[in-house]
Amino acid sequence: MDILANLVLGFATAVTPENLLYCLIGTVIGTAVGVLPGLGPSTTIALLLPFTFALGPTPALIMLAGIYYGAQYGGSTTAILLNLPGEPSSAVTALDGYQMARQGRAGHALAIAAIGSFAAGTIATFVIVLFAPVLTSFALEFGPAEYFSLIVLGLIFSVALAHGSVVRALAMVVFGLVLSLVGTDVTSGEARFTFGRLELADGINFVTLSIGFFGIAEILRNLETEGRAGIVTKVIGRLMPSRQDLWRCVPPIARGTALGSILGILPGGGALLSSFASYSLEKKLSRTPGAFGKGAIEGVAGPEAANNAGAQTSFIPMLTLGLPANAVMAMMVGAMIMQGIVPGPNVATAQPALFWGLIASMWLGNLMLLVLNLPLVGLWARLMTIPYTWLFPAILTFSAIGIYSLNGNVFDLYALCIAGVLGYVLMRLGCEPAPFLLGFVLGPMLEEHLRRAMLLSFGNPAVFVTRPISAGLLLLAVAALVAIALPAVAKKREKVFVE
Amino acid sequence: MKTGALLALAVAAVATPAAHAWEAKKPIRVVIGYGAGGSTDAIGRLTFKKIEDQKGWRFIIENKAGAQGALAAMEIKNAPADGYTIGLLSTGNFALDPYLSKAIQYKPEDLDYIGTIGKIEYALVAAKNAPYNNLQELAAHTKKNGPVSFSSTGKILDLAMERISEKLGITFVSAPTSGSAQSVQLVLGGHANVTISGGVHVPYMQSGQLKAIALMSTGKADYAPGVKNAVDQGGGFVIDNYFLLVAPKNLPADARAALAEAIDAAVKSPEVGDYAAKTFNTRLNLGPDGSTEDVMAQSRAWREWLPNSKLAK
Repeated sequence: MDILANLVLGFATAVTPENLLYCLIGTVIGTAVGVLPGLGPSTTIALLLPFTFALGPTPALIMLAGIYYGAQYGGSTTAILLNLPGEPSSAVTALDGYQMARQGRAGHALAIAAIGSFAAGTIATFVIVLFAPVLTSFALEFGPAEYFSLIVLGLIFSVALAHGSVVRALAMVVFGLVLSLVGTDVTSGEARFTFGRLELADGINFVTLSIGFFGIAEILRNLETEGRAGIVTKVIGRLMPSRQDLWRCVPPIARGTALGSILGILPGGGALLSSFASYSLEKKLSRTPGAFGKGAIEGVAGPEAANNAGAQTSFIPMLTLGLPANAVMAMMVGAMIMQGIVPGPNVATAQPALFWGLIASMWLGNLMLLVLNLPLVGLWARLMTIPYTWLFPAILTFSAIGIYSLNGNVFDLYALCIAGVLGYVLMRLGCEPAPFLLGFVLGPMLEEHLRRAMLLSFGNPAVFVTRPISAGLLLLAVAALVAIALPAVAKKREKVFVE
Repeated sequence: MKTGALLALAVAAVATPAAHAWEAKKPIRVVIGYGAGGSTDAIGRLTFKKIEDQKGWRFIIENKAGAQGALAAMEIKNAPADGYTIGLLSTGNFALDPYLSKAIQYKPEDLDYIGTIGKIEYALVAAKNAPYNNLQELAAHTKKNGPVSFSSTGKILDLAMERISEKLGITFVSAPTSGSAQSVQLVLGGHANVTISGGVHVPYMQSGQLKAIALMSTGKADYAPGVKNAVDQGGGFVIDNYFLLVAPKNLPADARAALAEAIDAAVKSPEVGDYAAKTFNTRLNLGPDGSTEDVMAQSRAWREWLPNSKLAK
């Protein structure tokens, strides 16, 4: 069997001592940089890139991939413990993960994140092995019109992220879209809303906004509580989730894995959309949707699984089309090119050991993450018992260092302060940050694909409904919108009648 | 050939050792005008790694990808001319971009040029089953069926397409993308008809998914032996775009000579040669004088032509 032979080749490549070592180094470095807010994997990989020249292509890519998913893992840890999401996808994890941590269930949240990620990673590895060629042609079917419709769907889903009013959530999505307009126009190259500041030429930084809106705003909110120097939580509680909790998380993990595996194939935001989509789906399917946003374990398990499955399958377009899903993947494409491997349809056939070895190493890396981190859960959870007086200054310091290290720009620190205060004010007004961040991340893609689709169709807007995939996605979006609007309308009518 | 003469000049200039050869006493900052992982970044990092090995100097590489390289160019223009800040961009950033937008606050004369790493070999490509195989057929096709869509990765490619189109009567609509991998994907998926790409397309030509309509650089390509370049097909224009190393204006002569010499040695190394070959570009160092002359000549040519361009406005 071809598939079996591929798997055997992959594992034979991945378990050589050298490759195992680099996989371990990658995951450890990745976890470390993921845990430090702001100091993201892209900075780290850029710094490490020159050192990978000396390695062969396979260990180099294995290590870089390890940094990538290790960092995603570490990012969930800070999102859960400190409400500091350094990556767009961990913003979803922060929603319920941080609430769980505040209730003394940090151990549960961390453990389920690790277990969910591992389960998803395992399944996604097999998805890649079985379907890589099919998935590549699926990715090619996705043109600008399909992307546009997918993003519209994602934005409508994002309303479900908020647990308060639909109108406020929509307003936050729009606010995010508006702020994302700042920067250089992709199509014409002209600067927009930059007030002549070169620092704004590339737009407002996501990490700055995310850490400001979640982390800094949360600190400000905590300071309100009568100024008593308490601790975040006194009880750590059981570290491992109960059998019941685990059982409850099986369906969300399965659904999240399916969503992530499919959406991860789409470069540029696919993996990210999958974690948002998974959260919305779980909330919709849950018998207790009210618990979401207040520490629902499904709200951590599903998105974490989706995110990890998506991170895994996003290697397919990277390897076979040279299309990176994000900045980190772009650097991995660079590392491949530097090693003389031009990404393309021939990589899997011309470099089978590299291709399958990398995929096998991802599964091994996920296993390493699980083994390394489960014993650490207790240690991390203990972070929550550090008194505010120590914890908050430390968070502020690390956030500031991380933000500064992104571009070496003092401007970004001012931006962080503004984002923190703004995030706090919005939080007090009952407006939540998650829909805002999704709007902000998807805004530029929405615009880019809309304009590109219109240019390529010679200005004919019918392209969005005549292409079947695009039309299907738009129909789903309309259905979702109706589903969201109906209960709201019903409620309003009830109110009117009561009065 | 002109290039050959320039090369000889450059080598002669480099070969005369200065009395006190300049040495880098602290790390040299390199500003790359494109994102990490792109083709310019990759060949640049390899070249600087080679110089570190050969000379023992240290480089700190920064990617400043904003405004299609203009931010990086500005940064180098404003840096002290002491040899400790250099930039890696492409010829088009200096010969063409300053005349396209008022926002770009530099001119080609504002910088020193210290060499090139290689020439980017472009080709106009289409899906395998496209009903045209060369520029004449493409022109006939658009006259009959209306414009083709063109996914474009930069202004210089737009203008190149415009120049040959004008000459041959091709009509097209350009859709900008954020990278050549994306442009090629749009053609592969049937979302756009043609694109001009500098290397990314070659694996797909080898796998039979794409075909070259015309080479967009001088000469021939090993991977497409039967395909002529755009000038030979009557399009009247090809792109000569180089991976170009720049420095702030009025670099001290000894620093300029030492940097040029270090770059030349690295470009001549087998690693850079191998790499250029694997990515289907040509290794070529025009040297400091050759690069300067090339940028100036290209900038004159663009300025003469730009008033005719509709896309440049």
